[in-house]
Amino acid sequence: MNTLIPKQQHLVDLLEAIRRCAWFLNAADRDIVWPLNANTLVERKKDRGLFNTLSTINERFAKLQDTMGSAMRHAAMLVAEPVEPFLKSLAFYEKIGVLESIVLWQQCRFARNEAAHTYDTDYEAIAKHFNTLHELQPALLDTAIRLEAWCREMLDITPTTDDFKDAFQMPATDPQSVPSVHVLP
Amino acid sequence: MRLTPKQAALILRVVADQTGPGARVALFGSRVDDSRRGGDVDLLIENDPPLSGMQCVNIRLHLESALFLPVDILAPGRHPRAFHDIARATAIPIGVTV
Repeated sequence: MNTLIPKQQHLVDLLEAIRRCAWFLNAADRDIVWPLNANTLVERKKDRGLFNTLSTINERFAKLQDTMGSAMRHAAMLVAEPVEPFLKSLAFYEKIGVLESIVLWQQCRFARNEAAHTYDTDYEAIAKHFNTLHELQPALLDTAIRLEAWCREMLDITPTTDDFKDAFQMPATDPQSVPSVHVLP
Repeated sequence: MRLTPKQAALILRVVADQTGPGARVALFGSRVDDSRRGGDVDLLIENDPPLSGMQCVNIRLHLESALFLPVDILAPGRHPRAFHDIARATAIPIGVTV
C-alpha cells in the first residue's frame, strides 16, 4: 500500500492550520494598540474585549508554533531528513533558510511558556509578556511564510484551500510600535 | 546556596550581557536550601530600568543551555508586588553585574 498520499495530505492539512492560526493571531494583534502598558490594563481591567483578544494572542501564538513544529517535522520526514531529535530538524530548517535561527525558535518557545505563570493582577508583568509576544510575532510569521514557500517549491504541497490566503498579507503593524529585539550575545 | 562559584559567575555574565552593569542578581527558592536536592534555579533580577520581556527570555534561554538546569526569572517592574518581597526576604545575593 502506498502511504505517501496520506502523508502528503497530512502536510497539506498542517499548512492550512498554520494559515488559520496566523490569520487569527494577526487579526488579534492588530486589535491591540502596542506597546501595552500596565496603566492601560489597569484602566481597562474589566474590558472583556481586550482581555479576550489577549487570550487569543496567547493561544494562537502557541498553537501557531506547535503546528509549525509539526509541519516542519513532517515535511522533513517527506524529504528523508532526520526528525529526531527535533533539534536536528531545526538545524536543517536553519540551514536551508526557512528558520532565521534556532535561537529565534527557542525565544518564541520561552516567551510563550511565560504565559503558564500566574500573573494574577500584576498588570505590569502581563503587559511585559504580551509585548514580548508582539515583538516576536513578525519573525514567527515570516518563518511560516518561508516554510509554506519551501513546501510548495520542494514538495509541491500547498494548503487545502484559499480560505486564509490573506493570513500573511495583512498590513504590517505600525513599525513605530514595535520595540527592537534584544539578540543574544 | 546550591550554586557553584563557576555557575554564579556564569549567571552574572549572562545577565550582564543583557542588562549591562548594575543589575542585582540573587538566588531564591529551593536552591537556597543546602539540605534539599534538585530544583529550578530561581533568580531575582532587579535593575533600573526593569528588565523587558525579551531580556528575561534571552537570559533564561542562554542560562538553561549553559547550566543544563531549568531557570526561572523574577524581574520586578516599577511597582514591586508582595511576591517580590517574599522572594527578596529569602534570597541570597549572587552579585551585581559589572
